[in-house]
Amino acid sequence: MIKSSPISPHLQRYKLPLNAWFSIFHRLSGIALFIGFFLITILLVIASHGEGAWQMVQPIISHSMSQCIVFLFTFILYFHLCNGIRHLFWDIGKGLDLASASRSAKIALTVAILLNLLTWLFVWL
Amino acid sequence: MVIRMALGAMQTTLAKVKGLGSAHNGTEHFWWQRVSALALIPLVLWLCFSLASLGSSDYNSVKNWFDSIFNAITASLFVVVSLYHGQLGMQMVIEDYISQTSHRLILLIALKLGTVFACCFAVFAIIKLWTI
Repeated sequence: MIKSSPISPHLQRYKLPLNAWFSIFHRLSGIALFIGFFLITILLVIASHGEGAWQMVQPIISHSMSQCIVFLFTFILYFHLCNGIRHLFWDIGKGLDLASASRSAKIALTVAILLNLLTWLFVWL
Repeated sequence: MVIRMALGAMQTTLAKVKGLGSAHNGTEHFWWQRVSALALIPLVLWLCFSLASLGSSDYNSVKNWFDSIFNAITASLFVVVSLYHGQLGMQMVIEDYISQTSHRLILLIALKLGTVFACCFAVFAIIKLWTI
């Protein structure tokens, strides 16, 4: 067995390109959002049971830790939105070359961060 | 080409007309995932602002927020379209990673039923919050 012989590009060995990371995070963010919407559904049902039920969960929601999770959640939502728009452009055959795809990846991430900051600044101000 | 012709000879007339091959279904999944994605673009912007502003609110502000018919209808729309889009995506995840047919079938059925349940619960909760 010669150690320097080339090995197959297994996922753990292979340095993933930027677009591969974005593809993985698009799917992961989708799964996270789906779980998040189930939690929101539970909160809606609790709220619909009236003030008493809501007061049991309100301290948990207003806790700074939960607010951090909501902040992260809106960011994941914006990321999935912006990256999803890239996918829609690819579906009509636009921006499929490597240079455009790498550029649009950076644009999508930047826009997602900016949208999230703007949203929370708008609410806080 | 030769393989295609050989396959064509073995296919039934109905299978030839449908022209779907071994995939058994066409492009509906792909297409509706894209259509629901388009619908979600404005809805997500609305939801993020709502989530950010509702987060720490007390019961009365939540109730007041749902008193607006616009918020109630948009919230219902968001629930229906996002859960629909989400279950299409989760279906793809299950189909990609769960190879054992029995496990896959059980998970897919649980996903579809769970999504319809959640959808009904959420929409009825929104209607109740709007009426009370």
